Amino acid sequence: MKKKTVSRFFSAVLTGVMVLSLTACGNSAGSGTETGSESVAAGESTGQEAEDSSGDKIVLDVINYHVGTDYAAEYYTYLFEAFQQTEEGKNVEFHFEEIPTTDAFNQKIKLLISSGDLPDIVFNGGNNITELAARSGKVADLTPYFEEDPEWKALFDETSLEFNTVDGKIYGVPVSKEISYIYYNKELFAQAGIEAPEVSYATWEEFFEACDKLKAAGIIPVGMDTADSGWLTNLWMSALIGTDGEAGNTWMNSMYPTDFNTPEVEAAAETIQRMFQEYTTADAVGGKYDPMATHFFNGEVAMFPNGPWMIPDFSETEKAPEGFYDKVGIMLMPGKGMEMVPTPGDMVGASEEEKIRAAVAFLKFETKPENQIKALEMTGLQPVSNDLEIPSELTQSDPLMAQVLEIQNQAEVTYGQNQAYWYQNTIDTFSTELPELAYGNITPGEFCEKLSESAKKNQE
Amino acid sequence: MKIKNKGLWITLFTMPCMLLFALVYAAPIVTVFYTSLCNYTTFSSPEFTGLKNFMTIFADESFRISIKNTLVWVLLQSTFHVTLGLAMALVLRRKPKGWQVVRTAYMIPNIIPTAATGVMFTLLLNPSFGVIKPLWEKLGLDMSRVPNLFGNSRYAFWTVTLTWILYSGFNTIIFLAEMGAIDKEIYEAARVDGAKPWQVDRYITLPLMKNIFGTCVTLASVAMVSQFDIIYMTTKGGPGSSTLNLPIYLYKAATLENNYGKANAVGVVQIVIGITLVLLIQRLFMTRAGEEDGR
Amino acid sequence: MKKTPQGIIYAAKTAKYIFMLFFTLIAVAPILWAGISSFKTYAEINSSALSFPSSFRLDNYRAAFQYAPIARYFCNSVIIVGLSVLVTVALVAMCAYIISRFRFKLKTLIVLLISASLMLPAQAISQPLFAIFQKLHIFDTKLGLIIVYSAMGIPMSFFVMVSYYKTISTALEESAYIDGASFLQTFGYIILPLAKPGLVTIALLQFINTWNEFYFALMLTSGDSARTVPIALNYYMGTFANNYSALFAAVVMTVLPTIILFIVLQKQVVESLTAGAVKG
Repeated sequence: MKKKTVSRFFSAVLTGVMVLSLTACGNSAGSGTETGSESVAAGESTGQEAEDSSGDKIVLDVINYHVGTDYAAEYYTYLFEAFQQTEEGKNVEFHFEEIPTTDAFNQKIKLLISSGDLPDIVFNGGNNITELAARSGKVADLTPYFEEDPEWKALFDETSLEFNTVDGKIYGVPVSKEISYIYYNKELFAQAGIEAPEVSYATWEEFFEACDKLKAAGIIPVGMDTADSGWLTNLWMSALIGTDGEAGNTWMNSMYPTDFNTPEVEAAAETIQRMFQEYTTADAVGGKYDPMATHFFNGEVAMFPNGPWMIPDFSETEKAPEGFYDKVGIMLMPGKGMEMVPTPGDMVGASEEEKIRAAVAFLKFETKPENQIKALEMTGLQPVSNDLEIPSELTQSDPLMAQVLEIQNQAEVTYGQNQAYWYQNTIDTFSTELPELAYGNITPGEFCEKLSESAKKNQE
Repeated sequence: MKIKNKGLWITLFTMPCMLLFALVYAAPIVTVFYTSLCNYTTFSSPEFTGLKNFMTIFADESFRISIKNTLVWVLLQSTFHVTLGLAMALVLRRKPKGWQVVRTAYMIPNIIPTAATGVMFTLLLNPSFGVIKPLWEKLGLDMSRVPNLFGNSRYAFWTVTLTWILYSGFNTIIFLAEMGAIDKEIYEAARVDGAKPWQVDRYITLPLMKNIFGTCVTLASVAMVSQFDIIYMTTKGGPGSSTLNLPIYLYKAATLENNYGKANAVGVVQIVIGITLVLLIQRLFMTRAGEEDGR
Repeated sequence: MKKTPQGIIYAAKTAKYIFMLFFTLIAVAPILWAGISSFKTYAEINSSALSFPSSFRLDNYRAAFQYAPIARYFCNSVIIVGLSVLVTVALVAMCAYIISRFRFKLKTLIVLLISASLMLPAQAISQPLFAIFQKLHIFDTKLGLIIVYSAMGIPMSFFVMVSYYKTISTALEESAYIDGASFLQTFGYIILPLAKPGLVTIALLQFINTWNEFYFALMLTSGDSARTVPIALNYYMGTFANNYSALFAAVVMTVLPTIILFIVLQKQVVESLTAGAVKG
């Protein structure tokens, strides 16, 4: 009947789908068991166990974005497993949801903040999540837990805690500190016949003199970019502002600035414009981080601003030529400047006392001095605590990392950077207007005006 | 036509579709329209403020630019892009050698994930190691001025357009299906009368494509009104506002400014523009068909 | 009748083949390029877009499996997309037929609603949908995504089908009704067989549209049981750690089967085209 005709038609479609799914899934099931993702397997099994034995175990929901090719994926796999070996963690089971990329993670967290429940442990992917979560009332006030354990609290300095405080209550546990400075290619410096300073160039004039010499020797002096928030350019610009006297430094250390038309910021924008036009690669404008990093790895660019998490890349032959690690030197920004910001800390979304305790126990474990060191070794994440003893093996196995730990004590001026301190949409404006600045389609003053305008959109 | 229980069949046949539709879209449509009139952010629940959001966005220059860009893209897509698909279908209709390969190949760009397409184009057009530099060298042009296609606002709009405008396989498939439905006897008769191939296309095939052409134009326009992925993957609306369109503007209002009320106001504008386009296009193609019938 | 000069015929033929060749090339180039890039190292990809890989090693393919549960997501994709195609085609086949043939009160409203939904921004839909799905307990299930994708496919398929039905002459139906056929019989025996090419076409379009959907797949799932290929692709893009080589390997692995499926389905189109020729 009618059914017959319809089914005859659909049988065609169905066969297509089924044949494909059978063959494809047959194959993939085989390969899946052999090489399937370890972390996923772990996540699944813990999830199932959790349901089986939820009677005496505490199950914590976690959304983890340190998966896939994330720089800290391995470290967090270790951390979750190690925690379950401890006294506090042996009764805890994790139930994972994996969300690759910080961008996707932040979108999901924002959705959950506005119309759902947050996981028990809320990792912090930046993006002003701390403030959003705190104001939604869906994360726990951690102040009492800090008060009850002074030893733990003492691991963090005032700035780090304050950075994670909203309306006088601490919501986030900072797990690391972010610093950045300049990597330079010793070989290229030698080629241009210049010597890199011990700690930093004394002034930006000296820095640009060096740039001119590099340029004269046919070497591109600096790496810059504009896409995806313009990370590298942001580091240069923050340095220019942050080292520009008292006023500039104060400005670059304040949260959510809305006035960008100050003399220091405009001057910095002007310098950035000049750097784009004279001192960097042709693909810097509109460029993403990866090709720029490759320019540096390939010895096409002499100086590259970034933080310690880049160090492992220097010896990874997939990315950099063999022996590149030994060619890299480290210096601070001119005038002994260094970018340093506390990181937005991990939060607790659980609401039952028992679960909050378990989640806090995990965060305590995460910030234990040993694990801070472990994180440093595995990911380059800088310890949040100040006076940790750095194992001497590190100096042997990773001299650059050791040098980072040493040189940061010589910084005389520290300041923030835009991704930590500016409004989300202003960072975006920064990234989309930079090309216009670089090509001279707008003046530095106009550039700063656009930033001010966009920042002001956030104020009700 | 006289059909028993006509009303019943109409209900039975449209119901399942509309029910599924309502399940997914009813609440969102109401929410979008209502909250566009509210002060509604991640921090606060909706609070009625009248037309404030609309005043804010229309006062914003970049919003006006995003409307302009959206409309230009709609225009390009509904003319050039759709015609290209039609041309390809006309060529393939006669089954020249290798037509099946071409038809399948031409669909491939539509199957590739946008993330990959975006990465691919940015790398391919990178001014320091992409295809442009060697091309520039061959043409003997000034090497210090290799154009930065995604980075320079002078070219960005056209570069982004290039990532989709040539890939019209979608329309080709639709046209081919429609051409297959044309009665073969008409073609046979024309052949017997000695009509040349172009005459067949001009006087038989093309007039019969009017309806589906309207549909393709509608779909292409609507797709452009809500075009998001590839722009997000390549330029995110920049440099400046050169590739900003409504969905990107909306996305930024929602995720970067956390201002859902404003975002939904943009959504309402987007819906209104879209519906206007749909009605306009249908009117355009309907009346023309009507005129022809009248002759 | 005047004969067209040979020269012009040749010129036209050459132009036609150049046209076909050009568009085949620009269409195939991306996937070929992705294929070649899938053998390159990070450094090779980021320093030269046009070069060949130094060696044809399979490391990237191994990495693709290692970083993301790609096989599992692929199966989910096949099931979710496959079923949503069936649902959309079935529902639209019925609904569009009514719209193309009859006048009734709510017709304009239905068309307007469907047009509006084409433009609804995903960001605006996701929040209400999230809440509804949790209440119905279909959050993080394949069923949930099938429902969303089927609904998402309705507008586009709807427009194509309405137009297609309009090309089918009403004379056939009228004579069927005169012969005393019921509505269902007419639809099942006369209309549907004639509409096959249209139905196969919207099946293809729906397949392509949902295969790469990312946003809802992310927002409406929380675990591996219902996640699809586009999410797997995100596993290769981390902050400061984009693994383009593994990404391209994954793209090749996920695109190839779909191309095969596409070829299989196209065969159906060809058959239905020849079937269409017989119609009276």
